[in-house]
Amino acid sequence: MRDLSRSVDGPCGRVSTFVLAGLAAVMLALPAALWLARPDANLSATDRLASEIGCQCGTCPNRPIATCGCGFADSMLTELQTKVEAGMSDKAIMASFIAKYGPTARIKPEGSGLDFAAWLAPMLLLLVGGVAVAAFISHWHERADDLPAASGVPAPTADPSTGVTPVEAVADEKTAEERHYRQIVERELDELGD
Amino acid sequence: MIQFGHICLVLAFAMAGYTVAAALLGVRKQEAGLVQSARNALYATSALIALASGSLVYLLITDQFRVRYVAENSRTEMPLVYKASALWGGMAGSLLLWTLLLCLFSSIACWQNRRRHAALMPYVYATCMGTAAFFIAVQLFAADPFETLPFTPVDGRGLNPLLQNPAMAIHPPNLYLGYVGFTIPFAFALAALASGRLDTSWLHATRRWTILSWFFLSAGITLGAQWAYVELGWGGFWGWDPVENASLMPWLVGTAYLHSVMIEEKKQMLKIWNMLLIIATFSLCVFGTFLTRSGIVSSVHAFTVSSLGPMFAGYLAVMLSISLGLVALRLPELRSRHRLESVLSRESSFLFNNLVLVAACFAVLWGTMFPVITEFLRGVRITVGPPFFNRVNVPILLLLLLLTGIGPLIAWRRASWPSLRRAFALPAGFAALTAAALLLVGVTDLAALMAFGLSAFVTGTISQEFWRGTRARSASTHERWYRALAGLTWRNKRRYGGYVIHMGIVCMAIGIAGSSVFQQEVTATVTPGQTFDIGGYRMQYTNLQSFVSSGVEVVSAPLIAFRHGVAQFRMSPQRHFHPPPNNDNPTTEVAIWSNLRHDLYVVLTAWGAEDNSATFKAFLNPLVKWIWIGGMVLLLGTVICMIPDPRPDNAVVKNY
Repeated sequence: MRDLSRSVDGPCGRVSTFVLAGLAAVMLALPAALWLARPDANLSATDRLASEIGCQCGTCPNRPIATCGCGFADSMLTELQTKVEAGMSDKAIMASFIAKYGPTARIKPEGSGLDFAAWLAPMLLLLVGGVAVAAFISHWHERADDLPAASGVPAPTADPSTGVTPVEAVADEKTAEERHYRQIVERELDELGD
Repeated sequence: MIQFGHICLVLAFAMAGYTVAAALLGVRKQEAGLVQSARNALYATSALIALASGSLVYLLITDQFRVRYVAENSRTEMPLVYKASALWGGMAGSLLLWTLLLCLFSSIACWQNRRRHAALMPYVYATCMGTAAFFIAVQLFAADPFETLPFTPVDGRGLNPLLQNPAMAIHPPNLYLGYVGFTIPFAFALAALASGRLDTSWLHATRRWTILSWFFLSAGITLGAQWAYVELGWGGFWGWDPVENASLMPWLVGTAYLHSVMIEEKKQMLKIWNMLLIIATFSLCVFGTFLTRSGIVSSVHAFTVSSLGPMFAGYLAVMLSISLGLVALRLPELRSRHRLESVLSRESSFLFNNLVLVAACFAVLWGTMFPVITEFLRGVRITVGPPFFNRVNVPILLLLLLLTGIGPLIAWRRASWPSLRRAFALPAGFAALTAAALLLVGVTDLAALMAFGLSAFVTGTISQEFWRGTRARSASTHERWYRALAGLTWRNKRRYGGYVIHMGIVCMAIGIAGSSVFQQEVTATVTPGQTFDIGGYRMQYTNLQSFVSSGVEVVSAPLIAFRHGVAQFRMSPQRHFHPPPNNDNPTTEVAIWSNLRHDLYVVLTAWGAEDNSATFKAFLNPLVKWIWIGGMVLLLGTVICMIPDPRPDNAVVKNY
């Protein structure tokens, strides 16, 4: 893994890197949200719409008529099949259900307008949050370089050329592999509790 | 008994209020007597609430229908166990149970820590009893369980027949135990903030309470899913309904807290983040109750129909203001000098795990509240149902599964690429083989391939950890492998119990992926003797039967299942017509035949009296049993984590 803190010289450079990464995350959230909102291309029109129209019987709210199984959902399913067989487009069918049952007939937000916010917000949080976490990790790692042995438990020093600690170097010898693992287990158990 | 219960509630309210006042005054004036008096008042509040609850149970089992709650939730013919469980069948009783559990937990936690954490305890008393006072106030002013009717009905309405199910009888108390349990770490967190004792002592004091709460919340969620699967008859176990979402949200944030708190215990890092997580977990527990009880999800206008919504909103606002205000006040002391020795460390993986869990919680919260938000902003509700929740959460949860596998193999503090390559080679190979095998047998669904591949990866990492640990211990102690395995787990219950929990999650992931992606469904109308096929089974309908059982009119349509031409088993899907006043809709009694590979799930949807025909909806749900097995494994792992450590020096982390 490339050490992000070393990617650009100086704190200003690092901040710029993360600001750019943040912007990239925002830009990436848009296509990610659009991808999530996409219609399911693998399904037939009836199955696709049946998974996006909610049962309106009043006792099983928001359950897709495709899986609801109550008598009312079955009648809505028949209604849907009739419309699909009549050659109506997906949009026209959805509009007819909304006109008949109200806006709650659609249980999957669209990929546009205010509906799109439903898909976008979780992706924004995840991607921008990912960049923020990476920035924190990088920043805290930089501090550790300034002040080594922070926790009071001396950490094994890694060989700068290979990134391998002495303990790991021992482990590289196949005959000592078990000893190496035991050392790690024992060290973690005894020094770190769990 | 009615007046007695009501008087107990009134006295408990006064006593809880006194506890808050005495505890805060005692700590301000440094008067030990006042603090002790507050503690005694806390115990008295608990006793009074126990008496009030006992009164309501007595009223329920003795059919005192003059009490509105009894008339609405019980009836003479109900079995005794369901009469008693009607305590949580309605809103007022649920709130009383919430308060009872809160008082019991508070009493135990306060008794345990009264000397060890004396400086924190006044604030703990105040927080616990402040919460209890709020819930008692809701009962006294908005949902009185002892309210009487102007007349005495001959019989009650009875518990909703759908709720008369063993899983449903124990599911709500488990959820409440989880919700209420998180009050204890929350109260200690507020106490640490208020007292300025921000070391890790409050974390150690509440570690087992947190795990215990998580245990009950997990059990409650699993039981709820099982109830939905067995009772609702739509072939699934999770419908992303607001009540289900309300229980999942604190579980997700609570899980994040359980992980990140380990970093604070070891390195005194993330103090602010952990405070925010425990505040969020507790707030979501209360918010869940608000969400389901205020009516806000059905319509933003329903919020003001009863006083319950504004009361909960007010309490949440006050509680959040106090908690976040205290965090802001203590910000300079909470800021610790965060240091990570390596970018590649378990700490880093835990941070990403926290992000993913919080993002999953946010997606659920956002989807649940989106109709309310859009109604408020635009006057039109944009409904958000399972297609949204599944689409958004599947990638997030797959990411979480990946981190579940990665986390345990990265060492605390520092890891390196060579060591990681060694640790990940076998699990990654196992995952690739699994995915390749699935591709070969014709599985092309990307989400399913990823779910099974990642499940194999996590199984590989955990098995490798147990195998290497056992081998190393066996080599050093010369024990047999099973003794070495037991010794290894016993010596570090939290670590290996955690791995068992992860295995439970893997089992659940396998079950969820299998049943969601490979579900087969058939609807068939047949006359006696005719057959229909589902997933390799030939189902032969025998005849329509109608009979009365315990006052319930039953319509049954038995089937014989054949496989390869040989009769295997019988199934009897039924519809139940309950006597008035629960005769609005017949309930579905699903017939389920289950093994480790799949469930055959048959619902009787309609029938014709003239030709005795029957219409069935049959599902073949692959791997569902693994969800329930996973739930049990997860609970077993949690129990392992909770077993007290016999070695005192191992109970507290050394750098504390």
